[in-house]
Amino acid sequence: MTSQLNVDTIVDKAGSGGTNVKIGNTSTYVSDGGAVTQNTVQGLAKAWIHFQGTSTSAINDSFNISGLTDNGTGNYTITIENDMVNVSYSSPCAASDSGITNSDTMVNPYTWATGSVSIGTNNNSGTLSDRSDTNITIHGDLA
Amino acid sequence: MASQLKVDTLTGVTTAGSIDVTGEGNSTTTNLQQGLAKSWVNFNGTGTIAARDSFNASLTDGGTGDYVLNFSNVMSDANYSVTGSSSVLIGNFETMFVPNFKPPGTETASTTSAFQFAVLRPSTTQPYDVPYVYVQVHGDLA
Repeated sequence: MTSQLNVDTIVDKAGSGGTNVKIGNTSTYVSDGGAVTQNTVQGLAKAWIHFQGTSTSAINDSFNISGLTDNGTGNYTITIENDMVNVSYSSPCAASDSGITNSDTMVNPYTWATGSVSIGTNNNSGTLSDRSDTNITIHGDLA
Repeated sequence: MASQLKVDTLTGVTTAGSIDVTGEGNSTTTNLQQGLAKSWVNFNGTGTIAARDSFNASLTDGGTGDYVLNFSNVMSDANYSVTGSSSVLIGNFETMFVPNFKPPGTETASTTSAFQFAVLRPSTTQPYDVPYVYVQVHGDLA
């Protein structure tokens, strides 16, 4: 039998917040306009990171990321903490440099594994270049 | 004791398509629907284009480096946010994702059901087929 729960806010049982709430991977939500339902878990970003790629690279903030490796100028490997189920995930990236007024930048992932992704940050000549603010978001299926 | 509630669909009481969840810092709530990606895809843009994985998306090949993403469940308007990236191979991976790119005068406006985008090589400013393209969409579903 199909069930439906009508709520305005979801929090955990202790009432301290929503950080302990678990959602099943087949759950759906009613769309913003109310016309359709879509899968909730498919819409969630499974990992994201904002890191400093210049000087000594460092993670500014992240989710489901366990490490950042600096492979050389403009070349990084990001380690995913809870692995993806396959390498078919979507991983758009973007970067900029606060120290450069016109920091034309292209960010391109180039190696994918279930537990990591490597990316290159390039200037407009296609030369690997460090950027102060580099970002990647991963959507797909967790293992 | 942990509790478990089994349901198939989450629906807001005040507004069906609006549910709040408490933020990580426990000081604010944020809207669940607004935070979800409404569509995403990872696809091979060379030869016969093919999605490796996707959600609420199908693709149309518009020519070299030129693609259309079609939504299965349409958006409520054309003001959604589109982000993306593309890759060729290590050592030669300077490509650029450009939403709504077409030569001036031939642009196709985004609609609630589809939008056009391109992958360019900046060195030539021309559309270019690449094997790895990633797109994600945030906004309001209908």
